Amino acid sequence: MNQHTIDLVNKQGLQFFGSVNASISHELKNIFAIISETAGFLNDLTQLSKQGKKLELSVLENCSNSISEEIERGFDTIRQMNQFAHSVDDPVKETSIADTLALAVKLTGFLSYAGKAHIQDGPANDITVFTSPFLFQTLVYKTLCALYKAMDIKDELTIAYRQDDPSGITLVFSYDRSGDLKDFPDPKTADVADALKATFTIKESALELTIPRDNDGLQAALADGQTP
Amino acid sequence: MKIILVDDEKKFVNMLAKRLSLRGLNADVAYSGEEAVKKAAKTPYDLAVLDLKMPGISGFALKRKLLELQPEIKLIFVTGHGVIDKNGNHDHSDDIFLAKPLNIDTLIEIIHQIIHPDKP
Repeated sequence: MNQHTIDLVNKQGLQFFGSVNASISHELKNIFAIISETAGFLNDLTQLSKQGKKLELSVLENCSNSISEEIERGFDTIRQMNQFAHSVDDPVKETSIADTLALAVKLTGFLSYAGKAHIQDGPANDITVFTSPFLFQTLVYKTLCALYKAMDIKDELTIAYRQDDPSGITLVFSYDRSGDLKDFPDPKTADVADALKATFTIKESALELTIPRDNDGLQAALADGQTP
Repeated sequence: MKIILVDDEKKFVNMLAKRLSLRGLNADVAYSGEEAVKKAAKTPYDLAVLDLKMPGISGFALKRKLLELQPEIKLIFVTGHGVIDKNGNHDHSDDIFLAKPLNIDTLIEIIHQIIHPDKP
């Protein structure tokens, strides 16, 4: 990994962190907007009740349930934000494929152009790769974004992963209708893939991302403090 | 006055419509740009309150479609983004942008200012 790539990856890492946090805060604002309007509506009803209008218990119950649901949605969003924030704790470590995919699907789900994605059950024993969890998260997120943009929003993406041999893991993103992926990976995504020694293969109805089981070069570079 | 509220956050628009109704303002709701275009093809509206970021047709794209159907319709954009990106608003008009969560009294004041600009 040369210095040019390291600099690009560092800059992109910050941009990625910012864009994910922006989409999370957008989600939280939507949640607060619903809670705010529901609380406002309850206040409206209270004022009407003071003027003698009878309150319907079912309306109060619906409002209460709605607020509870949105608070749970908010907690779930914050859990994902926390999990994402901790992805920079360790420069390199054993990183779960299943956890990385699950978080990337949830984080991209906050984007307005995101379609649906279904993760197929993996092997009984979770597969891990020794890599940078943050950069791997970045790569999977960028891949999902590119696929969502290429697909119709009503189409569903199926994601599976397999270990073909001891040296590498392959993530398979399958779609019914092939969108326009001729410019994928874009230069920024290619730089992240290069840093992780990951490769893409685009097929008629699937995009495959192969990542090495161990990335010694990345470990050495990170030990020198060159990348996040 | 007839208003349409468009946002993919269903609970948000439903609750906002109820609160406007309690204040004497009649509002239809649509949960997507596509649904809003269908409703606007059948019903004349004085004002549309649009979410900026929606799946499918975005707020700015919806604005263009609504203006084709109803050139006199007034528009308010609502967004959950902290920084309002107006880059997609190609005609650089004086559309109003409000941040979520909304203040209902502010919204109603703005609605009245838009619909009756000559009234003090």
